[in-house]
Amino acid sequence: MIGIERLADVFVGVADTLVADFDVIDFLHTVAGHATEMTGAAAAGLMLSDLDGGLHYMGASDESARLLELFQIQHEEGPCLDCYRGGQPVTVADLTTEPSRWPSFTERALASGVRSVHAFPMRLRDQVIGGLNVFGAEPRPLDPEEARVVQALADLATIAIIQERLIRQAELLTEQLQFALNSRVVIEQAKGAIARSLGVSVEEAFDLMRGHARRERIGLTDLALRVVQSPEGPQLLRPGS
Amino acid sequence: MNSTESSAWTAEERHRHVLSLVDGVPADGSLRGLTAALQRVCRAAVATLGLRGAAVHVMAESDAAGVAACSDAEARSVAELQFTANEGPAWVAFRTRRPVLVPLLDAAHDRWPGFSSLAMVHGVRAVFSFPLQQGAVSFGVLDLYADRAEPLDADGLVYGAGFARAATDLLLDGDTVDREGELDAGLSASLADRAKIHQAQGMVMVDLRITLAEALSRMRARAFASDTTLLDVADQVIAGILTADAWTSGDTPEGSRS
Repeated sequence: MIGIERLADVFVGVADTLVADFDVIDFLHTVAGHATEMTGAAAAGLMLSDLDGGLHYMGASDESARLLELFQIQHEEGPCLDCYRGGQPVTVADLTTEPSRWPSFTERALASGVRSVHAFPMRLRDQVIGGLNVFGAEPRPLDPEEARVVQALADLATIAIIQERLIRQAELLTEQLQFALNSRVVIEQAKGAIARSLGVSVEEAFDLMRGHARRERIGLTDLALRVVQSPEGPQLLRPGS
Repeated sequence: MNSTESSAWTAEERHRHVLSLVDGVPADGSLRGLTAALQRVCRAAVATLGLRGAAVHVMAESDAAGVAACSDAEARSVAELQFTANEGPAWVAFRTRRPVLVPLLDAAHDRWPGFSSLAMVHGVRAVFSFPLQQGAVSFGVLDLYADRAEPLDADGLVYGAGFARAATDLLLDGDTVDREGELDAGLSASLADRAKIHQAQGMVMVDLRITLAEALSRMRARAFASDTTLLDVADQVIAGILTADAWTSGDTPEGSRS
């Protein structure tokens, strides 16, 4: 088990995700690396669920862990999947003692030199978003203290990921709102300008704009922007011009 | 509201409580989906905190914004006053991404001369604006209007932030903007007043041969000078009552200068 000072560094690093260049994939690889360092295990890997509940491989400390994660997802069988589905840790100190629990996974794991698996849910309250899985080359149980520390790492990573998803969602909404509100404003302004300039109703002004935009193959918002550039802008839509 | 009880709650318990308060009030029968849910947030805030009114603004910029929902028609008028005056606590909350608490609106006259005097006419004595935001991104504001000039107590602040969180979640989770970039239909309808103002702005640009920005300034000045709202001015422009001649007849301080 790693020293308390190093542990503090790791946790501070994992919690510090509100940085401008936060990258989820990079972050998850780092978390997997931390999990092996904490437990002295051979490898660690992470799975995350998408919005529909489908699991995806996200990161691993090395190639063997990556393959084991992918294998479980493909074959829909294995300790990490059980852990994700149940929302509870699944821990197997020695895979050879339980060959029938996940037959194809166990065969595959043993063949790649993995003897123990400890799977921790990535969970915030009722929501399970994935799992952090530690693979050992030796048959070995995790002592309760190690298990607590790895679960704490998984919890912190979970919070960071949920936070990042929310921020991403908020940025998308802001962009969409900005576009929707701005284009709405400029289209209304253009409708008014055309109506007054050409002596038509605002509804007719809108139809004129749409017709023109379609003929000229330009976006309605782009056309509206041109119309409101100056008081003469609406002349663009004068019939025959 | 039982303050001793709520302050002992965890954040999670308080959030659930806020949601149960929101579920406990009805929205207007004419509203559906997102805007109905946002109105319930406004009404729950009013009922819980003993307010005069509440409103949710959605904002991209100060000119590209609108009132998404309100507890009642009067709250909508007060919220819209900030657009008429081109100033007010909601604008500041949006820009700074921090709550703006104005327990004594009367004393904020120097800060927002237009908004404070107009809002006081509506019986508003205190305003509390909470930004709707996630991380560093903000996209709206929850305004709370009180008819007593006093600060929100500690519980009030927690609830204010809680209702703002509820509105934020609704906007983030809801179909605020669809895949084609179209605004939610209810939201679009709620912003219809603002649409009229922008149509009129385009008309005034043509009538007076000025820029769009100048056109809006002239409309604002007109609203102030004649003690009406920007929407009233817009209605007059659209109806053809306010035409080029009327603007230049010199009956507003802005108009007399040109």
